Amino acid sequence: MATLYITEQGAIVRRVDERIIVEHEKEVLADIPIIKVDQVVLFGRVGLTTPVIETLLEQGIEVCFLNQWGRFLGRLQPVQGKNCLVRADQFRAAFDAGQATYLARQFVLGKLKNMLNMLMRARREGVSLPEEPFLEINQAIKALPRAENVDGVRGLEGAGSAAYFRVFGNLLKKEFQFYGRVRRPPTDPVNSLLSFAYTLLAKDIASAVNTVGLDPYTGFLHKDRYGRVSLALDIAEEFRPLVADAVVLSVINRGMVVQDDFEQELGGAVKLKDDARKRFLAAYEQKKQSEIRHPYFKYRATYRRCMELQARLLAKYLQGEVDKYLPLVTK
Amino acid sequence: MTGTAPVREWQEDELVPIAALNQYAYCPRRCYYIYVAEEYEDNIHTLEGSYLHENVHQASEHLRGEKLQVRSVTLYSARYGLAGKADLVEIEDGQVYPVEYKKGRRGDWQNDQIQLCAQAMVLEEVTGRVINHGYIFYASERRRQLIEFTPELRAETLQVIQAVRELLTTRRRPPQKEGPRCQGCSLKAICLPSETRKILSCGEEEQ
Repeated sequence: MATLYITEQGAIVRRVDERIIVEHEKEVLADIPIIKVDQVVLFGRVGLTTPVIETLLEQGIEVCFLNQWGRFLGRLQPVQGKNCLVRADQFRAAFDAGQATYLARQFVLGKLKNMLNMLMRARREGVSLPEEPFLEINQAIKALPRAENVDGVRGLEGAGSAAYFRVFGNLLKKEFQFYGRVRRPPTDPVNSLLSFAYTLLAKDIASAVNTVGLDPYTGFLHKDRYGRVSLALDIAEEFRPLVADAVVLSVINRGMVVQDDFEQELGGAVKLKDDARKRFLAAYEQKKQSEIRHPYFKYRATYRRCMELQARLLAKYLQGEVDKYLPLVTK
Repeated sequence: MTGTAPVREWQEDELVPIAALNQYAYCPRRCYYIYVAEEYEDNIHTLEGSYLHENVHQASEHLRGEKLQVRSVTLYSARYGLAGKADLVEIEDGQVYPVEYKKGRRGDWQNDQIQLCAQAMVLEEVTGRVINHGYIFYASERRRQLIEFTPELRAETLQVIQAVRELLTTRRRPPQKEGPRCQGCSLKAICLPSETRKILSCGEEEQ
């Protein structure tokens, strides 16, 4: 099962028998059996015929719409299960300060531990790194159990992430510069890649969350904001270092994306050119499908499956079937 | 045994799907996922099963020797509040009985027998005749197994009908029960029995 990304501007997607055909000016760009697809992601001006929309919805395949520059716009969602029971439990927990603080803490714990492990691995592989970020991230982790509310957790998340991003640039083996996280808009190539990877990750986790019947818009760490998939962003925290940051590092360090692949827009925003974006999407997809040995369950699972597992385990916590939510932390 | 349950108006969520009886008898939790949470996933066993039923569920009626065979018969019982389908109903020498198609092999499959018995109970209500036996056709051996509707099986079936109705109306999630049946269950990846056990038994710090 894979995600079908369509980036060609002006392309048309149609259904022929049990296949999805992507065409551009009468030329067939792709011809894929529907059973091989579990998600379709469209960038910008891509047309869908009504029969293909019907078939995708019938088969439970969601369609995500991103604009030409990769900003998430929304999704076409197949019929959701009538499992409103789990959503009721989710809303109750979101309004319960104790439970919301606990979950926020666990998401941030996962993120900071994975950041720390990533830096330690780099150091073992010979990257020179100062001692301070290790101490600062560790301090934030140690302080988490004492955070009394979600704001306190957010403060520690900010401190730990800032320490990590201060040295993230050291992990780059090519000529790219990185001095810290810049968002809205990213003004350098590395930040532009990070933002794009986080968008893709949030989209995938939102789809996992949907599958489980949870409401992607009601979060614990992230405040509800109209149109923001807060719960998906919550669960995404632990996956950011593991999936998104790892892909960004690997495409740069392996020379799959070079300086020339970026262009600067008038407003200062930096974005990937079309060809490089295709390579980046392929690398992201490959990462998502790559297998790890699960740290608690000891079986092999893809990151994609791990995302759904985390959503299911969160649902179990919310429904009172397990007494804790353990973030995915890998060494 | 007929006549023990009251005839009354059934609310939409009190109506028990006959196939749900089979799922419940296999595992109450599986029944919950499919009929309450509406979560479902196929595996090789369920795919084989639906493929088999696709072929069986072509409504038709024909004579085979002295036997009248009616396929895909819609069943509704006002008495028991049951709704569903029989794969095949045969009428032979004035005897009416149901035949249910299953993909596996013959054996003492209580869950299949309960489903068949419920079908017979609805047919009894509709036809006004007592039905003493039916058959389960196991496709991998192409053999029929005779099932007698004993008082014990009927009592068991009534109990399961009650239990499923309670599940559908209360929407209460049955506890997990990890066992050998989990291995063949297509909902294992949703129910996560062994994962749940591990999380419950490990400490917060074991990460």
